[in-house]
Amino acid sequence: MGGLEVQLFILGNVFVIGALMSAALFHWREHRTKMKSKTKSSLQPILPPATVRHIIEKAEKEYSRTVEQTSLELRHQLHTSATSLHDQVSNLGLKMINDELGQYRSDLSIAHKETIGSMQGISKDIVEHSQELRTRLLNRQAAIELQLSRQQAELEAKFIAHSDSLDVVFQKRENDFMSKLDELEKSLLNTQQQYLDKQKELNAQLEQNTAARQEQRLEQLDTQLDDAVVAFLLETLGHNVDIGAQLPYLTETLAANKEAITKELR
Amino acid sequence: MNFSLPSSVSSPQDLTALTTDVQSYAKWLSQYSIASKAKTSYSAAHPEITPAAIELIRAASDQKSITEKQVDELIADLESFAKTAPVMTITLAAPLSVGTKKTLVDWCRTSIHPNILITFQFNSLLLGGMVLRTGSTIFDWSFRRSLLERKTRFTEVLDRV
Repeated sequence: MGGLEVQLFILGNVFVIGALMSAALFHWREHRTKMKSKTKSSLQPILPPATVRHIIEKAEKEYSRTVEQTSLELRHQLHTSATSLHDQVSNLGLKMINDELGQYRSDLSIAHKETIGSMQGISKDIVEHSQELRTRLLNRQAAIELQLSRQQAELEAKFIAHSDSLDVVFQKRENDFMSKLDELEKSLLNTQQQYLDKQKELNAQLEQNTAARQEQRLEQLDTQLDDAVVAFLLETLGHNVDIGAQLPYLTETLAANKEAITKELR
Repeated sequence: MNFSLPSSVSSPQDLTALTTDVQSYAKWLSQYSIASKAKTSYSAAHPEITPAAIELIRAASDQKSITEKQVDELIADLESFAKTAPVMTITLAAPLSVGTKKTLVDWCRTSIHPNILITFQFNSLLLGGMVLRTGSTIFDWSFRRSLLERKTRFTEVLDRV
């Protein structure tokens, strides 16, 4: 409220100074206008122009000097008023500032005290909440650790069971592999034995075939020899066979084999 | 069957030919009999048949005349004989003379079977002797077989030579 009054006072002074300067300018302008009309209307026919001109110039100089002096006085008064106003405004401002500062300090002190009280309550609440949060956190942590321990135990159990099953499978695979390996070794040995047997058999067969072929060649040679002899006998005897001369031999042969012939005829 | 085959009829082919001759004679006899019953002249000549057929027909007649019935019975006997007679095939190294063939047939019908039929064949590769076949049995008594069974003697003889 103090600041507003100071501002109103300053504005009032500015308005008063403005009004005084406007009145002075209006008065100077009115005075100049009247002087020009009096010079034109009344003095012209009386005074010579040079005198009139001299009087006018002198009057103008005087007027200018008076205006300047008045202006200086007004400036001086304005300066004095401004200085006084400034001093008063400064004093008033200082006072207002001091009052405001005091009020502010008082309010600040109260607010500080209230803040301290609130802070103490908040701090207490924070401590309690922190304690509660810590308790919850600990409970939650304990629950999580318990769950983790259970899950870890389950995982370990599963891992052990899976590991056991893998061990069983691995053992089975190993046994299968060993049995397969044994079978392969046996098969290889059998194959080798079969190969050796087959080789022996082929060697024996080769020898047998060679002997048989040799025997066959000998038989062929004998047969060819027999054929040659028979062909020779045919060539020499075949066209001169006398069955009548053979008749005793034929009847004797039939008589000797009579029983066999009779048996076959039955 | 109250006849015996002549030695000239030795094989089944001879017996078939003999039966054919008797059948032709039976046909002629039938026609002749019909003409006689009709008292008409029958100008057809007596068929040409083998002496063995004539001999057989005479043996079947009563030495005076022969009836159609007797001829038919003879044909039936010949056909039955052909079905039941034992058959034997003898292969020789050369064709037989008639005398030799007759001797062999007589000997076989005397010594082996009285109704036996023998087919004679020849094969010069036999060199001599004979090959006898009865049913599925073959008796090889040829010189060729004898030579082949003693073929080792060829080499022995050649070695000595």
